[in-house]
Amino acid sequence: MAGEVVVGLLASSLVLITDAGHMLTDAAAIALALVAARLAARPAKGNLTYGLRRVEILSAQTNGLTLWALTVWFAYQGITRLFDPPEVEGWPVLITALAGVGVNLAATWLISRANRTSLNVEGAFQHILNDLFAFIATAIAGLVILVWGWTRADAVAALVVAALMAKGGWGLIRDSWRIFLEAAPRCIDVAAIDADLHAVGSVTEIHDLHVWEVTSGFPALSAHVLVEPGTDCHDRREEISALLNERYGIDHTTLQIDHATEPQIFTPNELTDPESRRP
Amino acid sequence: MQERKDAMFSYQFPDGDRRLAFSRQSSFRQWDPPLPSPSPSPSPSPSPMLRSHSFKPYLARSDSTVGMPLLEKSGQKDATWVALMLAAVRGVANGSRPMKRLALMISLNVAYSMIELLLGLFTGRVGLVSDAFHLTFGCGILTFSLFAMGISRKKPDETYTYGYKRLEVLAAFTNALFLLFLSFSLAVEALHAFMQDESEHKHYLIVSAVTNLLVNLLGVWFFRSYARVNIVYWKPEDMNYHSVCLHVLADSIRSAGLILASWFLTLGVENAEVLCLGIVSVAVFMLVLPLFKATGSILLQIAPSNIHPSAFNKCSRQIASLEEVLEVSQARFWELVPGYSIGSISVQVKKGVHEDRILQHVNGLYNDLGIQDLTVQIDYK
Repeated sequence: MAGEVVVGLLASSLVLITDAGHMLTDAAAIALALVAARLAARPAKGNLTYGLRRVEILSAQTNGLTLWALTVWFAYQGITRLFDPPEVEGWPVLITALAGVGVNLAATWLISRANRTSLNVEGAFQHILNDLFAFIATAIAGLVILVWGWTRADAVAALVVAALMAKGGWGLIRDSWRIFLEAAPRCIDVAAIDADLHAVGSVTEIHDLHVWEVTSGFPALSAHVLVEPGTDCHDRREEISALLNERYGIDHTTLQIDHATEPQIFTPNELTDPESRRP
Repeated sequence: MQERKDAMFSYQFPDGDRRLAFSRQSSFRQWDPPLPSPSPSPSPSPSPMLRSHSFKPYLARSDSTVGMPLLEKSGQKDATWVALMLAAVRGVANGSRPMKRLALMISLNVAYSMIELLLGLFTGRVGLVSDAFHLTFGCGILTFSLFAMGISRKKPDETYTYGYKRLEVLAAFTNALFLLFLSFSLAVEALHAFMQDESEHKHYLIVSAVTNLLVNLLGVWFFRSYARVNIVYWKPEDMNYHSVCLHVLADSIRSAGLILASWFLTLGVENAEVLCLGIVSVAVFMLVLPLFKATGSILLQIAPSNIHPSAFNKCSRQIASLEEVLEVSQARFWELVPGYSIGSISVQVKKGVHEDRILQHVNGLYNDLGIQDLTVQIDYK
């Protein structure tokens, strides 16, 4: 990477500098992801009742925001260079880019085999993937400069790289913000859960059904279930939690099972005005 | 009639029915159209009675800030851009006073940065253009805060079962992140000025800095009740307003620093730029750190900060000391937003125990601590 900065400066190629800066942030991103994974593995303690699992999401968000910040900066630089292209040498750009493609292909392949359901790992993967795209774009730019001598290809490649980074960053930010907003995971249909729970025998009502994720791949559910009087709460609870586990893959559930009182109908008037309540 | 009266009161709690007192909204799906209008005739058929959901439970906490019981189809999927913009304008016009003030501030900032951008492009002064970009970026973050203020009143729906109040905390966190980034970049700028050792007199930047300062001071005035570093957050809006106030405060400090730096330079003070930028950078950092920590701890699902961790242990032990209780496990607590804490706990009891009493007891204990929303799972061994 240091070699890239030197060569980039020498070749006065924006694209190579783009990539070098990008690789530095990539290394930082991977380091951050590793640190977050280590922290998240720590057990729960004191007032961290869920442990530090959410730190992974924080790191994924940081990766996304960094990608965006880089996008802005490189887009700005690309545009200025588009209007005023400096002299760029084709060969150094091409050679370094091809070397970069080789390195990044290996890295991408390695990470793609890791557990990508974790948003944290996905963040690091997005960085490396974008890096690979960037190097490919650089190689093409170098080729264009060599063959046709069009020096603006440098700036165009930088802009393409910026666009790719924007897209990668957006995916990370959107997913991590979903989790921060305690949204139900995309793969889980809460309406279907509601219907299924109502369909369980002797369940009269479901209050406060909440489905959310502690961290990616770790959904949690809490609900207050009313069952008919005389039912065995324990059996119902086991049935429901087995259902949730098998059908929806949620094993972190907290179910408060209660006996409903004899059903009573109050019309809205009767609720507020005790005089009008039926005897 | 008589058997209905018996049925109504067949099952009584010793201290009154506190279950519904803690009960929150019904499952979001259950809001079918209400029962037909009341008539004095005798009871309807039994089957609708089981689904007694079509009215608000008598003691429901329907005025809680979270958990409004109605499901609303959230917006049309195919709203055009114009319709969205109109909806946004209408939202702000009907919004609270802080929303309107923030909208005013953002429009002032945007107008100003547009002018600055155009001036910079026409006169070819890079400093103005980059300042305009920075201002626009800050405006974007403030717009996100405004958006959060508007959306947070939406009722919970299928995907966001806890509603949208968290967005205010997220907006505050984003503001805090931006301010940290600002502080960092000012430090880099100071370092840059130190290494380069050139003091550039950018006169046109002074005019821009003064205008910026005035606009931001207006913003500080609007949100003056939040112009402190350490604030106790009672509700989610507190965090959002605090973050906006710190944002404009930090911007005004930065502008003031720039003005001061150029004045010192005219006085002939060496390294004035480095000094001022450094002080501003440190000031902004110290300003934003408590907010950053508070919003971060909510996003990280850390237990409510207003409750001491030992209190949780104490409650846990109190429950475990009940003779029917074998074990207390999986006690988890977190804050949805400042002022609304949620918990879940699993209690193992001996067989044949009156679990409603335990339920009530546990709910009461934690409610006293301040956990409004507790789900208790009772297991038999």
